[in-house]
Amino acid sequence: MPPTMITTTSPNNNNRNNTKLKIKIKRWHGVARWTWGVGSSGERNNNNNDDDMDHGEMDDDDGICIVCQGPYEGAAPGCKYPGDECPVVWGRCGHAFHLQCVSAWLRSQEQGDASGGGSATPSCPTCRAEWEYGGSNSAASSGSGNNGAVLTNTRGQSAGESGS
Amino acid sequence: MASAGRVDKEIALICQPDSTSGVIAQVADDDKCVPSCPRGWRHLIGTITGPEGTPYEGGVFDVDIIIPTEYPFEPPKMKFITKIWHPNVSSQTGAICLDILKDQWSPALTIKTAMLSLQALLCSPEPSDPQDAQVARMYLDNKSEFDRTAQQWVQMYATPKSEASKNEAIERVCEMGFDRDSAKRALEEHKWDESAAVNALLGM
Ligand SMILES: [Zn+2]
Ligand SMILES: [Zn+2]
Repeated sequence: MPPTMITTTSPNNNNRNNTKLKIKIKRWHGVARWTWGVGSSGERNNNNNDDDMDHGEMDDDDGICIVCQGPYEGAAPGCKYPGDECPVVWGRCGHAFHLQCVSAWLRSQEQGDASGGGSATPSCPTCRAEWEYGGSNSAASSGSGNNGAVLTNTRGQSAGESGS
Repeated sequence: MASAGRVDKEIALICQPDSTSGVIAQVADDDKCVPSCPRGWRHLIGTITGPEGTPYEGGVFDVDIIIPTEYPFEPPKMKFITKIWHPNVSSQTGAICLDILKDQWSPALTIKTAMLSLQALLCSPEPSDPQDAQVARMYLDNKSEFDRTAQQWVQMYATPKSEASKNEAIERVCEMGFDRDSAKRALEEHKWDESAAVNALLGM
């Protein structure tokens, strides 16, 4: 359910009598939102104020895992629940996918090698660079020597870790 | 593990009329129960419009598209149904030599981008990596003869037939001693290729 904000703008008009409206808040819903902080959607939500919240990532390809074409914050095929059970991982090239999606691709590349076809090295679905786990959403900071994927949410807190 | 959601989404998208791209598809009659394929494999018939400024201009090419259950981790299987004279397509079987349909496939590609790549292949053949050696040799040795042959093939096999010319074809086949219904059926099955239809009627 979307949060409803009730604001009143009393007309700042001296010609009229100031009518003071009284508002009593009877009930409110707290609505929280999380993202994996992938691509421009994450950065934008991070930097901008709440007015931008409505123009979220759904209408933006950046919010989509290109392998399953579902949102990063959703569950990949074969995953029951989104979130920690279905984490997003980055390659050193800076491209992000659901862990399940990219590992299924790497597995199928391996099998292709075994049967003689396929390219020699496991590659990123997006840029074909040799795939190595360990980047982050800012590709520049990927040289941390950390082999596990570091996941951050928009608030910059660690949201979980996953091995391969 | 295949993602049925993605496949359904993609099929809905590629089947939508889109006048700008020149590629479209429709679900085949035997979708999900394709003969000689595992159950559940999807079957589409794609249509590619011949790009302007190429010998294929004016042609409409049908492409057989099979989507295996492993898609998008395995590439879709595509081949031309309509006969085409092109160095990277077998003039006999329609088999296509295109790297992204083989070892250069990536799950970032889609049915639509693969079809657009096929269309691009019609614009820029790669005779150095041929599927049909005879066609490739002609392309390299005698480009004008190649262009002429490709255009002839477009006229023979890839030009949508008018009702009048369809009726003429039916008449011609009937004159060979077949009844009208089976002549029509055979011609439709063989994309109005008269000799192929007659061969089929003769049981050859
Ligand atoms: Zn995914
Ligand atoms: Zn990449």
